Amino acid sequence: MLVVAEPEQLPVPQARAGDPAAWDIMFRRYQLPLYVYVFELVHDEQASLDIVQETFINATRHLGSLREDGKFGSWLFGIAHQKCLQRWRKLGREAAALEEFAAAPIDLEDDPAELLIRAEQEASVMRLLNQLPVAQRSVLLLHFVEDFPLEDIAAVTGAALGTVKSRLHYAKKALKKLTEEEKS
Amino acid sequence: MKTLREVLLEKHQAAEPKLDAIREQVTAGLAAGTTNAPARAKERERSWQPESSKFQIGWRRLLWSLRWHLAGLSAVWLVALLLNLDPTPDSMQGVARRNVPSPRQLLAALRENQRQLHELISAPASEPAPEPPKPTPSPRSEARPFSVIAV
Repeated sequence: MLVVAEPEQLPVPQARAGDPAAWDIMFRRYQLPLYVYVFELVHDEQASLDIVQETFINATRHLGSLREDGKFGSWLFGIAHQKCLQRWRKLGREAAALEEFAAAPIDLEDDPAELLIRAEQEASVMRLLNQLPVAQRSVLLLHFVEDFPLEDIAAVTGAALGTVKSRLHYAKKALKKLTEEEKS
Repeated sequence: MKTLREVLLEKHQAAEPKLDAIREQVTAGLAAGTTNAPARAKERERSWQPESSKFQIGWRRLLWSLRWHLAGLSAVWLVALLLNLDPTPDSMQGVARRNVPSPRQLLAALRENQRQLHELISAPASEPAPEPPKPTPSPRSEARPFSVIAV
């Protein structure tokens, strides 16, 4: 069972003072969710590990740019997100990725209920997740893995709040549709 | 039933050891960068003591206390060495240095000079040079006037 500390319990002030133990606690808290997010976007183990490492190093160097201590998690994911974009840029896939981001439709309907996945559905859900456009996948991961508020997801991805809402809605709708099909 | 979060975290659980290694590496680098130098020096000094005899400890302490002096002297010696190095062997300095005779050659030349001087000084005493014959003027009456002899 994964033990996850609340964001407000993170020793950000001590980390600002350069305490390595404080950094260790914060990195331990986010290392796996961050890896999950990056891996599900880039689908390359070594590249994901490299991005996580670069994210940690950048975080230690630029913690001064974090305005609110309570936003450390979304700030860290924002660094990782930028690293993913850099990787796509390097691979020449930036245009395709950005096209996917822009193509996500806008729909401001209420969010559907939280998804619960049965063991036999897991493989299908993961397959569907990988089929989603990068933009929807990114928003869905940030929402489900870290339960970030929409404002934070918008900050991480650099998208407008309305766009984030619609992407999340469509991603959830697609997953719900799948689970219903599995049931029937 | 699981949430998507649980499904995803479980799926990638195998990466945890690698992530631990990355985290430890980053925090270790951070610790190395933030610990102040004097504290590290004291720790290093302390770490020597258990494995050293009293003499070694004293010697090391002496060297350690003189480290800046020794470093400065070493730097001076290095600079002096660099300044004395002649990168161009055919330079004028090299030529001049090669033209300077050795002390043995100087001594031999001096002896030769002394010998020649000695010869010059002592030569008239031992073997006087013959005086050149003085020209004796003949009497005017003996002088024969230019005459044309008729044959």
